[in-house]
Amino acid sequence: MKINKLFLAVLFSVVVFNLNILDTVLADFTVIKPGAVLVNKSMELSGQLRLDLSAKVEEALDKGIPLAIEVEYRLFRIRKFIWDAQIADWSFTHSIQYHALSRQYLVRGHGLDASSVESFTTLQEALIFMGTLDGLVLPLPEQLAETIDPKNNHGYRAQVRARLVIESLPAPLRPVAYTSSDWRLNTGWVSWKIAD
Amino acid sequence: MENSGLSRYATGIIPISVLSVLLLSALLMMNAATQNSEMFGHLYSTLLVINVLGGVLLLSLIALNLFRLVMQYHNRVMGSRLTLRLLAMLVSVAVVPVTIVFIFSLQAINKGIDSWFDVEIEQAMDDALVLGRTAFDTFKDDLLAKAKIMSNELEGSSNTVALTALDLLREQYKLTELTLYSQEGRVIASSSEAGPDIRSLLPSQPNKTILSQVRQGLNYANLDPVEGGELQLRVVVPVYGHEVGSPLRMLQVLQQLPRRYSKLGESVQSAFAEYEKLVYLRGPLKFGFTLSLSMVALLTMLIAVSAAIYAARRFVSPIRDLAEGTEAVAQGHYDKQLPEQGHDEFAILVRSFNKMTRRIKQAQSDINKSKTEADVQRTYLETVLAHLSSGVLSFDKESRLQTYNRAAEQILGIDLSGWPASDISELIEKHPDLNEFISSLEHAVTEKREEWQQEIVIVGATGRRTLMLRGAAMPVVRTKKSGYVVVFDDVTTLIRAQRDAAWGEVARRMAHEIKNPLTPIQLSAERMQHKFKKQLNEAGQTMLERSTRTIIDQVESLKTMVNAFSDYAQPAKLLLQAVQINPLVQDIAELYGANQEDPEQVKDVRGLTIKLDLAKDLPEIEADPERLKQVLHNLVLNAVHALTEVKKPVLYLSTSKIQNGGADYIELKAHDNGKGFPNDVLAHLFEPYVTSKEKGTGLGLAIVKKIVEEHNGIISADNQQQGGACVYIQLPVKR
Ligand SMILES: Nc1ncnc2c1ncn2[C@@H]1O[C@H](COP(=O)(O)OP(=O)(O)O)[C@@H](O)[C@H]1O
Ligand SMILES: [Mg+2]
Repeated sequence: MKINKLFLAVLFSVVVFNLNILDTVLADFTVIKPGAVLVNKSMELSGQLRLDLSAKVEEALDKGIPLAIEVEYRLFRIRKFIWDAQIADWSFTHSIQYHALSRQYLVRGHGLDASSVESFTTLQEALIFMGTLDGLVLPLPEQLAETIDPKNNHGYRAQVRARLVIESLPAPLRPVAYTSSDWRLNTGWVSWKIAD
Repeated sequence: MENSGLSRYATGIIPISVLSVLLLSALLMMNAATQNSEMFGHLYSTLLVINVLGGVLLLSLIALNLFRLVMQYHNRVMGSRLTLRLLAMLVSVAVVPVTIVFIFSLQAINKGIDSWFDVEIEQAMDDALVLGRTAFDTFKDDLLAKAKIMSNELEGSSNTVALTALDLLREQYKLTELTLYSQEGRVIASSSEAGPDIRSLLPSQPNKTILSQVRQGLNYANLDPVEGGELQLRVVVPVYGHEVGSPLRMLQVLQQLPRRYSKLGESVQSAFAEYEKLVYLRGPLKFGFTLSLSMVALLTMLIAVSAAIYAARRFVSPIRDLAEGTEAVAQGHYDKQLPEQGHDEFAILVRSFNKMTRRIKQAQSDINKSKTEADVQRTYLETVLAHLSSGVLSFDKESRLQTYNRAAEQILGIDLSGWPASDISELIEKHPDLNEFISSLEHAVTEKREEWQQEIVIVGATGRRTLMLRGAAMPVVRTKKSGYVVVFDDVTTLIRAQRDAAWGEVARRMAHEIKNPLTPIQLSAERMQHKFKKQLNEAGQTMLERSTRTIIDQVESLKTMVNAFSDYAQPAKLLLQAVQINPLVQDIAELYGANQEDPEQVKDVRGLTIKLDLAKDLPEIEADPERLKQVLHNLVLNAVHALTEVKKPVLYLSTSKIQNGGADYIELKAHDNGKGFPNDVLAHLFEPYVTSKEKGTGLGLAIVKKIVEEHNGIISADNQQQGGACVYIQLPVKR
């Protein structure tokens, strides 16, 4: 009887532990020097997302598989004793695809502009282009913008996460992507305090 | 463990089926996720984990169940062997086909997927792409050459006139768009086919890398896919100034490819991309299929095994119950009843089993009942036997003593308790006085008589006794060999009484017949003497007188004798009254020794001394004093006769009060110092006509006995150790 319960407990904890590890440690995307200021009723970001693709993903891209990368931003108001209140969030999905005829990488969507298409001769350029946060301006919701004092940005916290969207991969690829750590490209939520 | 909650969850059908349904639906959703990403896409990992977890849970349930089964097998729990065998059968039936189907499907899928692809098609696709590139490269080179010429032409024109120059050039070369950039990448002037109003919306700004490349003096020429599947050529070349040190400018030429080319190119591109994608996806596709198939197969097998465990248990449980029940019955628990449920053959079996045990129990209780009945009957018989005055012995076929009663012991005068199973011959060795008794039995047995009757005499410590023996072989019950039973009575007293009665009758008749003629004889003799006395001489007279005297005397004595007879024979009426015995004894003593001064020492006429030893304060008895005097009289007379030869004849008379059988008696003891009773007389002392005297009647002691018995008394006699006869008379005290 006791053995049974113990066994179940151990099993459960092992599984939960593994899930956590998969989500955090294996993230291959990173965020470099993230920063933000709240001015002109919007949040101006700075920094760079390093979207390093694993060899497997790069191979898939070269074989013509389009990749979707979702970048999400969140803005929190810091509270003292309880959890911080999320006051705004944005989410953009950019895609990158290899164009064999022209031997170029096409990047669709940039910043707020979802329809833009840019072509790059090297993957590196394309990824840097995609990951650039400098100059990205995210408009704040109307009501919120009025309550924020642009002179005093203390008490806010921003969060960013970039991840490869497995759901947008072609169906046959998904089982592999879901089960392999090569495809688990994710910065995880990176957060920082907004300073002046 | 058997009834605990977790165990029930581990073995029941419901948890396993719920788990199975959950897992199967998770599997279905997972498969759907690979087809339709919107619905379950983001759940895929979760579903996968759920499936794996469920599989593990199922596996551990199975392991737990198997472990318990194996433990039960080791502990030899009833039914575990059958369960395991059944389980093995069911599992092989379930798992083997699934495995075979799994392997074949896997192969079929792999082969099927591989067969989609062809090396030649792949080559053709590559070739088509190269062809497309080559074609577009021609366009590109052409446009680059044009761009270089235009760049040369623009070298002289300043920024202010650039727009006009561009418009001219665009018209001249039939280009889609011409734009001049400063060294920093700002637009100096732009001319577009679409008109000036869209100029501000320029989509085709060259990116930074292109600009920096051109700044270094390199040309950029490449195909650009634009929205709507169109293709355009983008060429960027540096425009140098005439004067040394004047800033570098850059010219971007965009040329929309003819629609036909553009379409063809895009078609080649997309076909190539699609095929490439397919080739690439071959591996993942196989992986996906293998994963799904494996999961399905594994789950199916696990569910099948779980179901098999449940089914085996379910199937075996009534058999186990039955086996346990049978075991219990074998060990004597006849009240075992199994739970009846269902209507299948097992239920029939269980019902039959229950009926059987009920019958057995009934039979058992019947046996017990008849056993107690037999016991009751035996104790009844034993009680009857114990209180029977007849002795009863029963022997088995081998002549071993089986049963006996107290009367038998008393009559035979031996203790039979130590001999319940002993052989008859052993009895003889121990008790030689029973020789005749036993030989009579043996005789009857060896002759195999069904019934016999015999009168035998045994002489033992308690004297000579006559036994009446009746024997019978026991009835044969079925084939059981049986022995025989012997019933016997001590008929000594009965025979004696019969003899007494017979003699009494004889005496009465004799007395009557003899007494009648005696008086006429006496009278005739006297008349004869009287009549013939005077006719005879003296001698004759003397002779006549002597003869007459003799006749009269003899007749007189004959009369006395006849009177004695009739005394004995005719029961006289007792005149009972309260009597003190001591004065009676003293009267008799005085009668025989009246001339003596010493009242204690009474002397007979013939020299007999009577010594008295009378207890004081004796209670009265109820008696006829005359008859008691006759008793004493007879005893004294016997003593007188017996002591004629003795020098100093003495008769001791003593009285005392004694207890006998819980009642008070007065004992009168008379003993003398003579030779005692002759041995041959002793046994029949109190019988009439037993005498050792020439002129004795043998009635003296018989009459004594008769009188004593008429007074409900007891008489016995023996010879004293120091010599001399002794008679004991016990008379009951008056209540
Ligand atoms: N006191 C005695 N001593 C020895 N023998 C005796 C005595 N009394 C009786 N007997 C014996 O018992 C016999 C029976 O006695 P009894 O019945 O009185 O008949 P009877 O005197 O006529 O012989 C006697 O013949 C005698 O042998
Ligand atoms: Mg006598």
